[in-house]
Amino acid sequence: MKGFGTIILLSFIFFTACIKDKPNVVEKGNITLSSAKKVYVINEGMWTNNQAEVSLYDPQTQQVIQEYYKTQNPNQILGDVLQSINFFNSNYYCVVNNSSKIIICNNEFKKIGQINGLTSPRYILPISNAKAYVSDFEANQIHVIDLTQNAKVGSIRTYTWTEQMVMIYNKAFVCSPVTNYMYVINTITNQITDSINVGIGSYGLVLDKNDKLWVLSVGKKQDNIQGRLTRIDPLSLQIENSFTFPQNQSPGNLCLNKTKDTLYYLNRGVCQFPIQNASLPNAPLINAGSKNFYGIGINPNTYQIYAADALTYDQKANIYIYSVTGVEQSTFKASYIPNGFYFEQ
Amino acid sequence: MLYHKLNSPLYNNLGILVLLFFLVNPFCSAQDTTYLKEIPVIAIKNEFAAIGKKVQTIDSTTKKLFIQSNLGDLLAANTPIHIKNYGNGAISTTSFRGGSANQTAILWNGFNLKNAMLGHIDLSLLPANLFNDVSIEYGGGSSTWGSDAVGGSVHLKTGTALKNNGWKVIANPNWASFGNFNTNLCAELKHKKFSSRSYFYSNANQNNFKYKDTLNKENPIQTATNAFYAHNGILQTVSYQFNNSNQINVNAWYHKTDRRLPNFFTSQESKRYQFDKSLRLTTNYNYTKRRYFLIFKNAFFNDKLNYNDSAIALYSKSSVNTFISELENFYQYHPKNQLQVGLNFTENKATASNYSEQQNKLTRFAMNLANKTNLLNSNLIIYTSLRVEKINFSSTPITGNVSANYKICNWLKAKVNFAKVYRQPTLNELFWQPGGNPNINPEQGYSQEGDLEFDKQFNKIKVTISGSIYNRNIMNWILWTPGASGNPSPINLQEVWSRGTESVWKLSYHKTNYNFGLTLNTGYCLSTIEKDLQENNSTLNRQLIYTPRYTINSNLFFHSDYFSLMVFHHYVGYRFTTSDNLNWLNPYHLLSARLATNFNKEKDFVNLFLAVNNLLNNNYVIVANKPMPLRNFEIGITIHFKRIKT
Repeated sequence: MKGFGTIILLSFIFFTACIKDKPNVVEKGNITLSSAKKVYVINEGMWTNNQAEVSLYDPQTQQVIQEYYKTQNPNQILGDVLQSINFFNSNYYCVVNNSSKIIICNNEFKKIGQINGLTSPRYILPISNAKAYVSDFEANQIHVIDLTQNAKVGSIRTYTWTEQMVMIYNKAFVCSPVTNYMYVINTITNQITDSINVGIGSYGLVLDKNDKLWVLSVGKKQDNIQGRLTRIDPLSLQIENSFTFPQNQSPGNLCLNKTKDTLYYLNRGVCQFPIQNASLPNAPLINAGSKNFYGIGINPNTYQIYAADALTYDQKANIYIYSVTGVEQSTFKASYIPNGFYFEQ
Repeated sequence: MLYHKLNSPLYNNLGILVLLFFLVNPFCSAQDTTYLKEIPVIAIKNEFAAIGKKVQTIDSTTKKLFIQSNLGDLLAANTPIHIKNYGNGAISTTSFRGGSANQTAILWNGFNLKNAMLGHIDLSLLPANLFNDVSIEYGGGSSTWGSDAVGGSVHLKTGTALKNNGWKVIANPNWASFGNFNTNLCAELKHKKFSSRSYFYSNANQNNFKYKDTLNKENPIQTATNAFYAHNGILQTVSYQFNNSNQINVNAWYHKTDRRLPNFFTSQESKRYQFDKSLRLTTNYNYTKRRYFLIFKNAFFNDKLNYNDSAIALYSKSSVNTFISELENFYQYHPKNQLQVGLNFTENKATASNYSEQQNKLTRFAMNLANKTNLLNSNLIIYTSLRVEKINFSSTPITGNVSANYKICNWLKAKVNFAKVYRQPTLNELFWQPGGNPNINPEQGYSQEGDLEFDKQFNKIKVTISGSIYNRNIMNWILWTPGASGNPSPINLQEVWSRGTESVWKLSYHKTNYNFGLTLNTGYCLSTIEKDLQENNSTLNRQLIYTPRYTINSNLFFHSDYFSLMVFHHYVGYRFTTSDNLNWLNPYHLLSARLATNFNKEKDFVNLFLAVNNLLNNNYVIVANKPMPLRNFEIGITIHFKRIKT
């Protein structure tokens, strides 16, 4: 009988597992959108998890549609690692890096096409209504896209990884982070015509109100190479000014406000740099604290600063909205690893 | 064709085979018998550490049925430890009672096998059949085994096993699905005071397995590409017993793995490749005199890991050297008391482009003091242990254990263990540039566990039931998050509370020539984040990712003098893939059957081995988007040659 009692006791231990294993599915509530200009949050998703998505934020109602692509395209997924979105020719071009494709959506965000044949695409730059360039992480080339056929029709050999691009005066300027240089491409001939030494680790660039090019290079900490912010005249290709960041800083995510007179970037927080300034700011406008800012954007409609806190990368991120003076105004949840924003205008 | 032949693992290692032959051959005629008393000291430390804890030993019959498997597969099928396997032949790590991969100590003859840069060892690199014994010590054991023994420890033992003079050679060629050829050769010898065991293994797998891509409606069945892997290695053990008091063992283990890393669910062709190479040399001197035992152990490990991705021009090389010197003394100073005093010196030094010359080394000096007391006619055994450690970087907690075994009656035992546990930050966490944080603190906390074991024979039926309950709180849990400079950096971010229950049920029927029965292992584990320093996070009270709450392993077995048949069932419950617990993987069931003949003759004989894995052809993943193979097969033979004097 004693043995039987022991068996009962041990059975009790066996059956103490009382938590229901099946997780609860979170029900999606009804979301009402206003007619206000929306904000598209670009969520990379965790690498290899096919979690790329777009969160659609309505600044007026402060409501969010978390899986906007899936909502507009039932039973479809965007893919793996949404790197960037560009809007031109009345379409959204969603560059899905680790799925090697660009998904084209109409202005209701319904899929209308797809560009294949890419390796590891990063950004798309419209050159004309019929032509675009796509930078690439692995292919060592810029892909030339025929926008009338939504197909790759050519390539420009770069011998290295390429990142953000801008175009002015029939020249495309292309960041190349693993080299000290950025490329200059003649957009008529699709030939590399020149390169400019902007320092190693150039990921982002913008054009200011004076049509000057600003390039942000992160540097290379292992080799004690400091980051740099460089102003270039895109006509003469001459470096007009260069600001060096202190040792052990890694600035990134360069962007611009609507009037194109103030640069923003991440460096231990959100930093603000009016283009006429003679030196880099000593401290961030918004301190990161324990936040993991992974992407920023400046709403051209309101001048508000949107900063994405990716937390530990494996949980849904927080988006913080700040005034132009850096005062926190509101916050909302996006999806996994947001790296930037597209603002309707 | 010639190129293929020359590059086959078997051909490459012909030299090693020849060497093995010559190593064994000079002693083949030896037939003398010596009657030296076996020195038992190696096991003493394990016995001490096991007091108060559940210990599971994988029996030899089960191990024989996993002759072609790696250690991860063996543990996944037979224990409640969750093995996080990134795909067939890919990296495998443990989640032991809700701990991280770095919170399990994988010990080979008492030496921690981890790659000191990463903090863990990939279980897929360890052939299960290489080890004479595989046992699992559940619960905290940092004061005995040092850093990492937080959730538990896995003990792997190799050595010379022959009791009498003579020799035996066992060859195992095996073939399996996906172009998998696996062979191992074991030669053992005992001649008077000298013993030797040589173990050579080679495995080459094209690994072109089929899997289901559920998103691909047109062609759901896909074939893995760029997934080839090859393991090659040799382990040589030499043992010499000078007299009844002195014995020395020397081990030399060389291992090499070439592995291509596939992409799944993307059209992007993978160009990733990983190369692992390890050299492990150990010596073990044992001395025993009446009530005093001494073990003096030394080890040198070199682990190389190269990772290449030619698509992005990434060519990463790293190498880490580990030196360990350990002196253990056991003295029975009283009929009921035994004292243990241990000293340990460990140094890890990394060489990689991401380390500076000034900060690439971790030096530790540890001392532990323990006492074992037998009370109530040895029905109650109490073990207390204390460990003090001095390290060149970061602080180290004082750790300790208080544990007890109590034999309530012949068929019922109770065990309890209270422990302070810790995990020392890895070399990468401390020194990797950019991001390494030399100021980081060890993960540390307290664990408590209790175990009740019922074991009784009812005529020909044997019933074994055990139930365990555990609780553990770990502070300073390390996670990589962005540092002040924007580069990811490890910080002590979270507190994690792990608790759960485990049960083992075994019912067997024994006759002279055969036995059969059923074994059931269950695991229930809650491991939740209790504190997180990041503001507005969504992880509080959420289950750790890739930590199933429920695991069940069961098997039906039939063993006779002629053959053994086991049918395994393995269930793993829901696992969250994001720390906010909003995404998860569905549970999976795996059914497999393994059959081996049990012929045993005095001299030469052959046995056959067959296995069918994933019998139900289930489509499953253990890690998100890392598909596992559908139904697959293994076949092999075991050729025995032996001449042993009885």
